[in-house]
Amino acid sequence: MGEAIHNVIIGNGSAGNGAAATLRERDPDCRITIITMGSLPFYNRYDLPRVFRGCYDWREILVHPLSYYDDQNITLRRNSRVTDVDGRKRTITFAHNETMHYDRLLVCAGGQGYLPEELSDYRGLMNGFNSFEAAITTYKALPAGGSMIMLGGDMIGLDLARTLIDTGYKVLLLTNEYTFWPHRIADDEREGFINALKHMGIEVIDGVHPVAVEEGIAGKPARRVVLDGGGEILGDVVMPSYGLVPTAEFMLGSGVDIERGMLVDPMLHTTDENIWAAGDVCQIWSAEDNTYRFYYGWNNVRLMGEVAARNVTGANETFKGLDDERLRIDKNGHLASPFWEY
Amino acid sequence: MIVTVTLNPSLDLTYGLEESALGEVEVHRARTASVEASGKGVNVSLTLHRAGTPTVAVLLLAGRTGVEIGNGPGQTPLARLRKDYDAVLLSTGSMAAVKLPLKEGEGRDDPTSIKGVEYGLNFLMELHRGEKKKVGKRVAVVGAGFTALDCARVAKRLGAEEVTIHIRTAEEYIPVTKDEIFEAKREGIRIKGLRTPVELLVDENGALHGVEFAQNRLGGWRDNGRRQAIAIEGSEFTEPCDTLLIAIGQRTINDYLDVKLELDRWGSVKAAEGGKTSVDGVFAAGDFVSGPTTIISAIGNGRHVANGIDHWLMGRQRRRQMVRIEPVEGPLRERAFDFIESQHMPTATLAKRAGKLTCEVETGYSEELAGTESKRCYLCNLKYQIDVDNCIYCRACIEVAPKNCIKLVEGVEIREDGTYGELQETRQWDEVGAIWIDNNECIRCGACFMVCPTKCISITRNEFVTQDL
Amino acid sequence: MNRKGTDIQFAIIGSAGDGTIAAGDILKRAMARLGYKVIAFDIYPAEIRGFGKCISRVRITTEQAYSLKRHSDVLISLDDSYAIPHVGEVRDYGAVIYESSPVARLAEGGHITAHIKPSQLPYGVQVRGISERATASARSRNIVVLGYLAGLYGIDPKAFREIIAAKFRTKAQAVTDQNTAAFDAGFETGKAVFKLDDIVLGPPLHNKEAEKTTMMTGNGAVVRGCIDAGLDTFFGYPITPATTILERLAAELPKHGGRVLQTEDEISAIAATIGAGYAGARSATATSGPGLALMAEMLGLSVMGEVPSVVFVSQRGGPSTGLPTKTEQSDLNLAVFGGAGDAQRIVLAPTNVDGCYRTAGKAFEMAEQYQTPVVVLLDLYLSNRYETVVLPDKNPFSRNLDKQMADGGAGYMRFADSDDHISPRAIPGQEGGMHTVTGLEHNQLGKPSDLPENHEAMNAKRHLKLEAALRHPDFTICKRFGDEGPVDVGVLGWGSTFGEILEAMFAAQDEGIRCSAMKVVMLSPLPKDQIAAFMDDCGTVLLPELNYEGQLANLVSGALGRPVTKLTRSTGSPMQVEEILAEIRRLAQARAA
Repeated sequence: MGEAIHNVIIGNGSAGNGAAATLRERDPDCRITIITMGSLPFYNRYDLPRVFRGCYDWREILVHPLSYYDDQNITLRRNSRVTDVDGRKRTITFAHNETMHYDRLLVCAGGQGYLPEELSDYRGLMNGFNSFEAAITTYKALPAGGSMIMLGGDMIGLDLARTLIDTGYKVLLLTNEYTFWPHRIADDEREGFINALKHMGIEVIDGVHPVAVEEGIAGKPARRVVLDGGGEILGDVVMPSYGLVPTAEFMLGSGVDIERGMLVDPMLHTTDENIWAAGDVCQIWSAEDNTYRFYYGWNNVRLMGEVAARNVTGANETFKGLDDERLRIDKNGHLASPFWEY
Repeated sequence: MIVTVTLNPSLDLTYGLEESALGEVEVHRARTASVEASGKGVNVSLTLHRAGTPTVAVLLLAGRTGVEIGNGPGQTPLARLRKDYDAVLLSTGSMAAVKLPLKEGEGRDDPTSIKGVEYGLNFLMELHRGEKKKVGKRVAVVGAGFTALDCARVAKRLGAEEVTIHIRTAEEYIPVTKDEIFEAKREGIRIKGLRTPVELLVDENGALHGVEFAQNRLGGWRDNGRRQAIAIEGSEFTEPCDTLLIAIGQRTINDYLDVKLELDRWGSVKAAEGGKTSVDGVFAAGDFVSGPTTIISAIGNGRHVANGIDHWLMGRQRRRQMVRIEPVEGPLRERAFDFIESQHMPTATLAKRAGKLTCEVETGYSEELAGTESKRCYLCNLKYQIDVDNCIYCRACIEVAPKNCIKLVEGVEIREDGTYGELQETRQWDEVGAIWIDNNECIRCGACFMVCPTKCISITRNEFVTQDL
Repeated sequence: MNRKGTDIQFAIIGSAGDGTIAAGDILKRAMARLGYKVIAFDIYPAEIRGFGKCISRVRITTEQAYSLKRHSDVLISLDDSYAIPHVGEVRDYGAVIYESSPVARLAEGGHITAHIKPSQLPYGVQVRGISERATASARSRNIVVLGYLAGLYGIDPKAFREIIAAKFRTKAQAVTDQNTAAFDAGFETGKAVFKLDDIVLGPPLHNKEAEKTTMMTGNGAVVRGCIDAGLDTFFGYPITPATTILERLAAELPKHGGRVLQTEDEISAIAATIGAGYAGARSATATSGPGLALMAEMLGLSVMGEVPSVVFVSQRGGPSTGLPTKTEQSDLNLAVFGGAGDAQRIVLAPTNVDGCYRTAGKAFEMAEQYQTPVVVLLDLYLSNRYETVVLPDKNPFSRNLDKQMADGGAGYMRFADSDDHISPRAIPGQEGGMHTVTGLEHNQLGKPSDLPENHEAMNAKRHLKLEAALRHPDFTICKRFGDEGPVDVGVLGWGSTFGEILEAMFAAQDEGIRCSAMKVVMLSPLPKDQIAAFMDDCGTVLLPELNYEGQLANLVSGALGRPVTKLTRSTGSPMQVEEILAEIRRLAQARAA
């Protein structure tokens, strides 16, 4: 036979690309295909706030030069949404009606921003920051010196907030249980961290609960956030920042276990012998905590991709996350987090 | 004396409006309401009676008669019914709650003995009978079915601050529609998975203050598409709560029986074709046989068993189900209907729902929406078929087919029972035996019918009908 | 090799029956209406029956361009199985637009997304779904895609809607409405898409000329030229790629008082043409290489009898039946030399569609004035290439250029020699103009003569009279472009290839090479002086042409006794700009060394 092994990676983020590079290193002859719903080659999503620092051309944020894919013999399938994975037949079906066979599958589909169900009706009026297109759209929606109303404030959102403050915009943060996600903050530490946010220039609004988002009236800022019990907050752009939920729906029915994310053992192996998972999409069994848990942040997801790739090619490595995942305050009184290192 | 016999009596519900309400276009409130027995013969007797003519109205009655069947004092034993009647049908459903399998601790045998713990279905039934139910601040619901969802959403409306549904496996496997789950989450209810309750935690006043769970992992697959949940050793954790609603299912009780009926492996009465049990003259139907199912299944089973009882009583089959096939002149729908999106059921806003048990969440379709939604009817009882003898293989039908629904086949498998099986597709023209419409893919768009130059595609309507023999 | 301002090339690829050519047609007409300059060329499937690949390529520019580009900016796939081999044609950062929900199930690699390179931008569109939603059928997919293009690139939809209405005006209103609905649906979708490519449509520069601009193929321009020059009769025999000249004239010429006759073969076609010319009418025929070969003997009669006739020849792959649907420039030898004896005639070869119009009309002037056959050489590429042209307001062609018979009567000499070697011409029936015409060599009276001095004198007369054609008024016989004065590399060219030559010259100039190009329109008589002067300025001379032997190169070298560097291609497709540029570079580097 002699046909090369086909390794398929679903997901074009830091985990997926870390995995692809490692796979190519360890097996120069295998076929590697990266599948993504997006339209662009690999860029670092954590880096998207650069859009506010004059980076409007997608070519400037690519991690690799375009020749990388040819040089490394990696096939990149863009605009390709996976609708079905059959673990037994080892096939992937796309929304565009094409079927692809894999020998080994690595799911690195990442996570999407969570939007609470009670606000789902207002999705169309809010801006995300999950992709280059969404980032540019947000940038265009903010007038010079304009204001963003951020709901929640997970570490991804707060990172963007830093850049916004730095480039002359205003940020109004409506806090809730997702503020500082994924860090878990003890009640007595909270005030200190909130103060750090204020110190960084973010306007923090505590104890209010948004129930609706509406278009602003003519002449006023473009968005109106309606609060529980009356009251409103005006701003140019509303961004939900409620942490991530894993993008695992397309794997339903494939035969692997999924709770919120894809359930994997410490070697990132799913319950299907030919399928691994890495990055924001997977929940890893932690023997010491006796539960499945997520690992977030660029360092973690990249490492997960590499470990999974090594295990796909015969290793038996256990993934170990960051030693210290705590949120801190630096000497300038600003927030510092391991999730902000990329 | 005039005797009227009413075979289909009814209850008339009359609303009284003020006379002045007529002719004005606005919403009117009924001032009075009353319920009376009615039906054609009954009405005749009523009129005769009011006119002073002696009359008797004979009608069939159903409903509770207040007779308890059982083996205890004051109860009528089943044997008595069997003596007095030719046939007895047992359809007592699944009214008892499944026991919560706690490992240890207080309330292990009867969790409801702890203050703050109730069985979910009983909780709801009492609420609907008019009792004032109360819940605490933090409500935990254990269970993964519609009852659990209902309990959770009712608890929220009764004023709980935090309501959490705890399930043993994962959301993927719970038998509740996605819409229901979405609405529940929208109302602020959380669903947490992979845990099984092992102990109830009680404070010094005997009131519930928490539940201890064991962490689960997913095990193998069960028959009904669900997963096994396997508890992990030493993984216990606590969730604080002051109210617990148990909705892990219902079971049948048959301890009122005084005759030994053959049981199936779940302990329910075994019923064969036509509802026959192992004892002549005793039939069983509905949830009592199958365990909790749906209203539709129960009604269907009831009808089916009624036919079975009739068959047994009369000694022959007097009614049977047939398929009626009628030709249809056209597709009966327009191609454009295929692109109508499913109409989202309008729901009341969260503000309207808050705290009100009587606010209907699904507000229903307007006439226009209903009309649009009904256009989406698949008309799946239509079957499109190509008459192979008249087909000229022009392939015009394949070219207009919106899906991969018309295929070139070498042949079609015919199964033992005469039904069509697998299609042996081919791409080589010299192997083609027929052009075949795959009715599993057909969306009844009618495009092939419209374009066929020899009119060799026929459309038939196929329906089940019941025929008296 | 982009022109300044807007320079975007669209390639629409589909299967026969997808409406690929129709879509390309609407696109180019709409863009022309908006005021852009357009060059377009379609490729049809070889088979007559409905299978096969169709490609419609349309290049729109604000500055004049002269050929299609090797790399398109946007590829639209109406059928992935045909489009996939052409994905490489799209430049980096260009766009590939395709059906995102095909009906058939595809094996791995069957969808175009498997072949789009990382540097290209993919746009998946539910073309079929949009078409079915808007019109309840999938037949308008090609129109949906046009709407999408307009929405994505911000092109004013009004021009499209007007062209659609015009195109379907003979059909039921419902058809126009359906197509407009399909276009609008595609437009709304395209507008909402996030644009990732760097293709930007600037405003057209020549809005004022937009009303006067019209889109034509080379053959269409020839037909216009004929009509404007007052063509009286046309005789034709169908042959690819000249058939559309016959068909169009058959429809149009009677409206202008002329007559068209399809003859039984090419020989009778040219015979009738010459006959009509003898009778004083402006007359022409059109054919391709094989037909011209058949006409060679009759052309000799036209030369000998000094009777005006015009032959349009659209060259195709040869020899013999050759490649009927492919382009070539291999009939030059036949046009210039074909036929018995020293039978020189005028041979013209326009280089673009506008040139086809002018040359066609001027051909009749020259035929009349110099009493000789004129062969106008086009090729399949030029015949079928669409370009935006601005036709002149006033009719630029003159009539009645015959040298009139001065005094008639018994002494009238139909073939009298003179300073300009052009004799006074009497039309049969003209009083006092009776004379004899024969294919035999004859004296000035027209009577047969085999006297030695006579034959030499007549040969001289017939040749020397044509020199005046080199100075025919209002006609460019050759023209130099590019750097003035001495240059490193000069490029000579003729026919449709000159478009690619010009583009290569511009590119070479951009790279710092001193370069100049000259087009030779009149190939017989050859403008030797001008060509020699040009060659004097050039360090080395390159001559690209679409034939195997280097026919013009041989002609020039033979006439001037000077060598040229040949660049010959006979692939059946137009020469690539990059090929010519590579040669220019090579020659420039060799000179520098």
